[in-house]
Amino acid sequence: MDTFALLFDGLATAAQPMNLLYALVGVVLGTAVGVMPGIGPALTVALLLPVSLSFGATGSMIMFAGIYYGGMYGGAISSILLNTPGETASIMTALEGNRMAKDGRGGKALGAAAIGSFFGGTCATFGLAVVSPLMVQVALAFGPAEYFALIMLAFLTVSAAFGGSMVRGLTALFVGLAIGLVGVDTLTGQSRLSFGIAEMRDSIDIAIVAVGLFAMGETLFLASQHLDHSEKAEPVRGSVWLSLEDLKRCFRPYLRGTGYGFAFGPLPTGGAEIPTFLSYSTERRVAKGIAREEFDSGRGAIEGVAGPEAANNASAAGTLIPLLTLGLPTSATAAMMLAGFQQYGLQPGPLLFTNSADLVWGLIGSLFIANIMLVVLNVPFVGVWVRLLAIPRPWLYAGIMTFATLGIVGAQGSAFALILLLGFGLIGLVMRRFDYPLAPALVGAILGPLAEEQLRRGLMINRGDWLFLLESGISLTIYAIAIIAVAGPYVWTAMRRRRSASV
Amino acid sequence: VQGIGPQVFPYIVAAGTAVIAALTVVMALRGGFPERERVHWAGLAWVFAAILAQIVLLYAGFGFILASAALFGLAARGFGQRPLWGALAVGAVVSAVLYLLFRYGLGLALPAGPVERALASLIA
Repeated sequence: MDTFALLFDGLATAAQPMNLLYALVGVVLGTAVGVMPGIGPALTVALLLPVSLSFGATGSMIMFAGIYYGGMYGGAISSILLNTPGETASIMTALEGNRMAKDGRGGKALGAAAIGSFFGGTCATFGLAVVSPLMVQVALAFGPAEYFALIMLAFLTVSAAFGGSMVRGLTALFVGLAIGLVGVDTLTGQSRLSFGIAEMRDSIDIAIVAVGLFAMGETLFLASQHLDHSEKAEPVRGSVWLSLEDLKRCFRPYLRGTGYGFAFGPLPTGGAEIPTFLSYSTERRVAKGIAREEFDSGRGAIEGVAGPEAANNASAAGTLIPLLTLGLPTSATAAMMLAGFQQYGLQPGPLLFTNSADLVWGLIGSLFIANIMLVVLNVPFVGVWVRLLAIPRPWLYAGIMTFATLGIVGAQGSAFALILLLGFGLIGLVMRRFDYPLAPALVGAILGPLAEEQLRRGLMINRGDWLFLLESGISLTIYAIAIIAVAGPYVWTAMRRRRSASV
Repeated sequence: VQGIGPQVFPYIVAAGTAVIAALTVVMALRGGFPERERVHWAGLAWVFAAILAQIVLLYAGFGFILASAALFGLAARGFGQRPLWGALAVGAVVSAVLYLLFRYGLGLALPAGPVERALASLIA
């Protein structure tokens, strides 16, 4: 069957009433939690990971994708009105968006953000549907050596992309790798690092790691800060509906933002950070006329909201390409979704497309539907979401903690899980306080065991010869990309410094 | 069987961690750590106590609603909500609603205590 027939089947699966309901629940929850200040899509998926176990594989995947997209839409609202971006994907939106809100044009900023998210998300989902089958063709030729190389690429680039310094990123990665070691060794059945504790003999559930590091760590961190919890949200002023003139101004930023997002999303550079930055700086550079004036005077230009919002939703779709076809998460949220797949014993990768074609295509189909739902929820009903910003902080954070523990206790059925949760929360707190990124830890905990399995399987097939790792052209290419991706930025800054020194 | 046993990977991770630790020391000696804001110990202590209280109450068999009410109340107090009994009361309502929603709505198995058993007999 060709791609379009598969996509059509997928849309039919997604349009089944129950799946529509899951998508609706996902986008509503995603937007709601995404709106909450300080909470991005990664934390949103983490919170709902254990709860979703009662929905079945297809249902919860559809819901997760809805949460991912919804979190991106919702994040824009708190960035624009509160100037507190939920995560790196919305930082660029907050720059011009909050200025527009202060200037009395908050409504327009919200409208431009929602339509940009729709445009970027829909175009990039279409790209996802076209590119994924091609990637699967390539990935089918992958053996242990190639997979091991890919995982190494993910480790290096995720550590380099998050958290400012490579040492910090690698520290976080090794924390994750150590967590991943706990439990029964898959090849020999021996238990490792479980210290005789029965609950730790099976490996630690990734949901506990994710919720502990992200949700508990974040709330503990917030509690440890001397914060004024009384900041006021800007009221929404002006219509959220864009005039034809506004749409004309937004159209090019939408196109460019989508391009950046879709190009960078699949690369293991940490999701939406780079494309939104590139999109913002491009819009700022090319702005002319009234836009130029608005950028320079600090009143806030609509282009600066439109571009990054299209870019972060497009990158969300782009991120799904390596996740679905290779099982490789390139952002924190994608790592959470991978954890979601693993809850059902599903391993994303080329085989997923052949063994569970209806799930994959149903998921892709539901992404289109989720985008339509989201633009409807976010343009006319934006006022409802804005009210969520009025929830007092103590209630909000206490509520998040209650919800997080509910999910963990409900899924694990034991209070021991909460002790682990508290432990990971404390690790998360220390890491947040000392500027260590959390995403590499999660990626390490998820991909570490896979890397080990591939390496040991490869060694067995090749009778203990380690050189098998370097004998395939594909894996050598992947290592080369990894070196360029890590060393490239250093070389680039060094070259720029020399050039500016010589001028 | 040729290949490596289950003990090799932990050694690799340990070696890597040791290297990172050495690099962190180098960073510290070079003054790579910026000055940080003072820790708000009181807030942190309340929230930590909140989680601890929930764990203890669950182990003691008080059930999800009471344990989570303690978690919610103490945590809200940690974020500046006063008075404590008010926060605990709101926590009881919130966790009761969550319990009913997830236990009877989604069929999630949550630890039951006296309150949950009373609710169950009320519903049945």
